[in-house]
Amino acid sequence: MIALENVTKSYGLGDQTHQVLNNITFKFPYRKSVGVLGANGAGKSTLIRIIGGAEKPDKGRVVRTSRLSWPMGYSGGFQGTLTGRENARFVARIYGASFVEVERKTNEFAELGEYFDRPLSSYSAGMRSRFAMSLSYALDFEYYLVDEALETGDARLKEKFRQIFKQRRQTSSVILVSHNEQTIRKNCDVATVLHNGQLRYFDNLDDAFMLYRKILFKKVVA
Amino acid sequence: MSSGNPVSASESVFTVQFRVLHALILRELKSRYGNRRLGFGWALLEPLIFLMVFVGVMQLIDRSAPSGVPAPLFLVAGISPFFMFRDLFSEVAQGARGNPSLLMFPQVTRMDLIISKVIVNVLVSIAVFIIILIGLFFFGFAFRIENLLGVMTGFSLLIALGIGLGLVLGAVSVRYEFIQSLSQPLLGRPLFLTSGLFFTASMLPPVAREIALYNPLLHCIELIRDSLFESFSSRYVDLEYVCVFALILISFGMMLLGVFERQRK
Repeated sequence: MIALENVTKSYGLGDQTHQVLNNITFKFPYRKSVGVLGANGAGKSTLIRIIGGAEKPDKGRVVRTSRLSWPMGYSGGFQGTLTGRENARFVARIYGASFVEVERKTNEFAELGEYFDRPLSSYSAGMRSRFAMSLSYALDFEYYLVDEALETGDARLKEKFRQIFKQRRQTSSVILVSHNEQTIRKNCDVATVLHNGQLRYFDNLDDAFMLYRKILFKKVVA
Repeated sequence: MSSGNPVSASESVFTVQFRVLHALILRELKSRYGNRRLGFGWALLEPLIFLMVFVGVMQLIDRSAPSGVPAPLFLVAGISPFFMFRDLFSEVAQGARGNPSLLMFPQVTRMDLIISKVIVNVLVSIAVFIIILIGLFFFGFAFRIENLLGVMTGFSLLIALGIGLGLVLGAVSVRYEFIQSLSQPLLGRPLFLTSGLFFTASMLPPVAREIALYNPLLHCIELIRDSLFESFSSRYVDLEYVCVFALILISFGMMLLGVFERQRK
C-alpha cells in the first residue's frame, strides 16, 4: 500500500510561508493507474518527492508498504563515474533483487551494447534516459512513480517502452504526475487533481479534466 | 531519526537498511577508488605529501621531535587522526546539508547516506594510518604500540567529535547558508593549528596550555601519542571532558537537524 495520511508541507518562513500540500489523506488504489493532474506550481514535484521519500512532510506521514519505484526515468541518482552495469547493480542491491536478472533486462530494454560497461558520464542524454527508463522496468515494482516524461528514444524505442508500460499497467499500480491531459488520458484509469494544496479524486477521467480546465482558466477557485 | 523504509510488507526495516548501507558503501568505495589508475593510492597521497613536507621542514630548522619520538612518527600520530576528523566533519556536514539525488530512491534515507559516508571514511583513514605506520616501521622507525585500547579510544572520540560537529554545522547551514563558507577559515584552520599536530601540551607555556586544552581534539591526539609511544606520556588527557563534549555536539546536531528539516530548499 502507498498512502498519504494528513500530509502537510510548506516552504519558506513567516510571512513568506507557502503552503504546498494541505492535510492530504489519500490511498493510492492498487493495480490502477492513477493520474495526478496539476498546473505549474501546484506542488506536483513536491508531492512526488514526498511520496518517494526524498522529502519529509511537515506533518502527517507516508505509508509505504509496497515496492515503490524511484521516479521513473530519473537518472539523477546514478553515479557518473560508474558504468551502467555498476549502477544497475547498486539499484538491484538496494531493492534486494537479483543482479543477473536486473542486468539482463536493463540491457535488453535499453540496447546499450558495449556502453553498458562504460561510465555513465560517457553516455549521451538519450542513452542516459534510455538506461534510466530500462532500469526502472527491469525491477518489478508494485507501484511505479512517474513524473511527466514516459517517452524516450526514437519511434521504435518509444513503441517498445509503450508496450512494456502497457504490460506493467496490468500487473502493477502506477502513480503518474503530469500537467498534461493527454498524458493522463493515454496512461491512466482514474485521476486526481492537485489544486490549492488539496488532492481531489475522480473515478472518471473526464470529470477530472473538467475541474482541471476550470482551474486552468480560473473560472473557479476551488 | 527515521531509518529505512520497507520496500515491501514482508521485509523488516533492518533488512532494508542493512541492504541499503551495504550498497552505498560499495558504491562509495568503487566511485572513489574503483576506476582510477592509482586506486587506493589516492587515499595515501595527501597524508604522505603532507608528512614529507613537514618532516623536511623540521629537518631544515633542525628541530628534533619533541619528547623523544622520531619526527615522522610523531607527526603521523597527529596528522592521520586529524585528517580523519576533518574528512568526517566535512562529509557529515555535507550529508546533513545537501539534497542529494540519491534520496530519490524511496528506501534511501539521509541517515543512511551519512552513516555510509562515516563508515567509508573511518575505514579508509584507519587503513591509511596503519599503512603509513607499517611503512615507517620498515624504514627503521621502530616502535611498539604501548596501549592499543588507548589508540582506539582516541580514534573513537575523534569519530564522535567529527560526526557531532558535522551534524551541527550541516544542520545550521540548511538555514544559514553562509555558515558553510565560514567553517573552513573560522574552524578548520584554527583547529588544524591548535590540535597538537605539531606540538604537545607539555611544550606550551601554562597559560596557552590552559586555553588549548579547551580544544577536545588536542586531548584525543595526546591520548593517541601517549598510547602509541612508550617514551611519551601525557598528563593532560581528560577523557570525561571529551566524551561530554562529543555527546553534546551529537545530540545538539540531531536536534538542529530536526528543527531545520522544515526549512530545506
